[in-house]
Amino acid sequence: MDVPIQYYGLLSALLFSMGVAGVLLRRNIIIVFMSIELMFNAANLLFVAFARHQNGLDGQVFVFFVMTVAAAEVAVGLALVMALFRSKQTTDVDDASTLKG
Amino acid sequence: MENLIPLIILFPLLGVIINGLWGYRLGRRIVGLIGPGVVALSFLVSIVVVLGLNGLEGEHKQFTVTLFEWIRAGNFVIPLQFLVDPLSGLMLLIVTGIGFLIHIYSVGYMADDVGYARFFTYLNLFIVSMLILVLGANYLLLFMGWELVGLCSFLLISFWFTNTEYASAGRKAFVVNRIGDFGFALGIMLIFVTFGSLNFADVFTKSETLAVGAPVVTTITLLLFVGAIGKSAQIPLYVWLPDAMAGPTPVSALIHAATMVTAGVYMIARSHVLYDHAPTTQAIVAVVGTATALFAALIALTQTDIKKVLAYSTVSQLGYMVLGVGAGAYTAGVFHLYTHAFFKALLFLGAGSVMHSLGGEQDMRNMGGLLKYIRTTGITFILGGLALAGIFPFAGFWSKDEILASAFNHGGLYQVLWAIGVLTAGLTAFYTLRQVGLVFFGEERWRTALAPAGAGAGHGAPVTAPTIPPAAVQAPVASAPAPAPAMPPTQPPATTASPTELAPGEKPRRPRPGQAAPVEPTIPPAPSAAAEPPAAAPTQPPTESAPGEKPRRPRPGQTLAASVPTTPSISEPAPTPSEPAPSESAGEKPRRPRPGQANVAANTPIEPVSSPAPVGQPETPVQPASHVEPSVAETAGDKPRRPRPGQASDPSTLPTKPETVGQTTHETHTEHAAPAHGATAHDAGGHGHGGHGFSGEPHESPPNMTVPLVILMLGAVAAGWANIPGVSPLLEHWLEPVFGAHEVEVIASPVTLALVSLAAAVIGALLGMMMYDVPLFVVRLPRLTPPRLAGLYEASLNKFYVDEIYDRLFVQPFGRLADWFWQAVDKSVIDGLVNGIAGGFRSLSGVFRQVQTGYVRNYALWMLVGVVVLIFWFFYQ
Repeated sequence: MDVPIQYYGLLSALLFSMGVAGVLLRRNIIIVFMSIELMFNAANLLFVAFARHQNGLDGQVFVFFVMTVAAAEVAVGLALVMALFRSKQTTDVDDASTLKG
Repeated sequence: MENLIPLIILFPLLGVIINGLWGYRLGRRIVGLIGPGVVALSFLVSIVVVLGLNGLEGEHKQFTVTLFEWIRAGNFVIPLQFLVDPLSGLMLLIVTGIGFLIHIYSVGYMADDVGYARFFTYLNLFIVSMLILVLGANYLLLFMGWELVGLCSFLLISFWFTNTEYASAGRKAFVVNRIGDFGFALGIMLIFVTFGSLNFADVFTKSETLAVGAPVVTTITLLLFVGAIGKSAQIPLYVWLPDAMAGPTPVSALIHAATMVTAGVYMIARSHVLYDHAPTTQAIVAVVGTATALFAALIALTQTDIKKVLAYSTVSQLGYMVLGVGAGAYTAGVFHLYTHAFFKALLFLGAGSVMHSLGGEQDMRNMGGLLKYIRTTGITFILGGLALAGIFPFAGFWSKDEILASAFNHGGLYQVLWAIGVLTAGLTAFYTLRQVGLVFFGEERWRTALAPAGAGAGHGAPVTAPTIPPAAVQAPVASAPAPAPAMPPTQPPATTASPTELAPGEKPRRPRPGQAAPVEPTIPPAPSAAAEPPAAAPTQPPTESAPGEKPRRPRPGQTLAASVPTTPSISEPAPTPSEPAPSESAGEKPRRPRPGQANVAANTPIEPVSSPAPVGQPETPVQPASHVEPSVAETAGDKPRRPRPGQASDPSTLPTKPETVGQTTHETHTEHAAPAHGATAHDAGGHGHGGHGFSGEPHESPPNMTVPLVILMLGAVAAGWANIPGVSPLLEHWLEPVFGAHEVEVIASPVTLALVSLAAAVIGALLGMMMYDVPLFVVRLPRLTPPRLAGLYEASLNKFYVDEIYDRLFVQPFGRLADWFWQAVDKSVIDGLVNGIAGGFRSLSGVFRQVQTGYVRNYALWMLVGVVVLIFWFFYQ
């Protein structure tokens, strides 16, 4: 049975919005980080859904790339989190505001 | 042969590079080898080239070598091209030959200076610059050398740059030269505009087509002459040259004899084709030259600093050269340049050697009777002096006479100039012999002035006492000083000193007794202490030394007062303190304090002397008086500022290492900075070469200093024989391809003219000898003293106040103008504009800055907003 494409779209939009909200509203950097991952995956979900819907492989292949990039980004991102924690003893993003003009 | 020419410049350049980059790592020996060595090589190559030149005939007597095209812009093409013709060949030999001897001499003279490698770097660079100037085949290269020479003079004059005064002397030379160079640069531009080329050959060929007296040529030559006025130190831009004495003595010799100042004369001789076309300019040149000759000679009459006399004499002799070239007698001008190079280098180096022998003393009033102590220096100096004086048959006679003769034969205005020239020749002879007499004959004034206490006691007190016309002669110690206290305290120096020659000199710096007095109290005790560590001493009383500068010398009133109390209160303690004082003073070659010191010295041992004391006391408050003693000591202490720490009589100090010396020097300098005394006061000797202090007996300089003297002496004696009219006109023949054969109608027989100028010189010389103790004549004449020629003497001594006038006329008004521009234009308008714009942006940025919260979420939000906006935009486009 086929789940209509709209459902995928809705779910994906939901996930993405949650991610955005997480990034914008949460202060713990790790949560923020996870929210970013959430947005990634929302996008991935949509890719796969559309790929299947159109019987093409492009979207699915693309997801692999996104996942590899995401993996790399996680590595870098976690390193940044570590560095931040080391220098500020905190994971609160609002404490990292030295760029304030 | 052509290929050798670049080597002439390359060798010294190599020296510059090696010594400049690695000099301090190479060690003194190697630096001292490279410095003179490269110049020697260059000299050898020059000889080879000139010999090669000699083999060529007539018009073709020149080598040109083009290395590459230096500048090309449209039709403005400047090749890097060197030209050796008889004129530049002669200059080559002078520059490298005399330069080499001066280098050799410097090895000895600068031996203890910390800046040894730097010195040789500059010296070599000086030679390079001068060679470029001389060898350049176009005006731009000449100008390049011209400017480089200016740079080098700046570097060398302010060689001891930690002394503000020396530094400003260097700056003065640089700035004054720039004024002349400005005219010179304009002249060069006008040459290019007029002739479309800067090449000597092109310019001269093309200028032949212009009418004689054409305004363009007159303008060009006048502008070029402005450059020569600056570089060859003519009125009104000569003021930098006497101040150039601030540099080490070999530098003075190099600047004055072999390089730099001859550049102007060389340039005019080089451009003689142009000058021949501009009779107006020639007349102006001749008048300026003559005026300079006379004016500088008048100043030289009364100077008391051994180097200043020579400096003004150089200015005066340059005036002769300029007169020569102005009279169209280029050969004569260049001839004088060439003989002058020998005897003036000799005199400067001799003066350096004299200073060396006295541990850096420069004041001729503290010399005298030196001939028997430093024979080589003395004899060479005297012969050099005779050459300068224009006495037959020495070098100066021939060249000076030839200039005068050509001026006379030129007729008209030039005969007036000739008369002035002859008068100046007499003055020259007078001041030269005066110098010789003061330095080498007569009373051994240094014994009291510079020597350890004991030595001085026997003699008259105030250095010059014996020579003083009025009383004093008999009662050396006591009587001489006596008058001092009597006079109004304010004036003491004037009166006391006036009879002697010294007094006036000091005036400017002297009195401020007031200052001196207070100073002392701060450091009253420990005279001995001050003496011992000369280096340290100056540091303590820094404040003092500043004002102290002046006081150093006279304040006879005080000193006397001071010394007096000691004696009368002969109680045990008194003498003791006084003891050290003299010894110190000895150490320092107090050119300055001498009168006072002498007394002290004298007083201590001789009890009775005390009698004059009371007189002085009432004047000076008791307090200060008691302190005076130390003051002397201090003064002594100060002295060391001019290093010669070595001098301290204490032998242990003698071996002071160069390092220490250097330091001392520096400290010294800083302190020095303060006041007046013309650049003169200090000197070279004081400096680097403090290592040899004055230890009681003048000593001859080492061979590497005396040998150049002897060689130069040979030149000073014989150089003139190279161009005896009618007998051996070698130089004239040699230069003929450049200047052409000049037909001069002879108005008066050369012999008559020669006799006239010789007579003037001899009269001047005889007067000088009779007044200043040269023992050839038993007759003694009273000396030039202030009362005798009151105003004139004073004016001459103060250099006719030219520096002061310039200060009033130019420096101060320009200072005020600059101030106005600074305050009114720069600060309010310019700064206002700039700061206003900056301020505007600043407040604007304050607004924008609010956006930067530093919160990541915030940035993300803005991104989101942006994305949303973009999406909407895409949708509704």
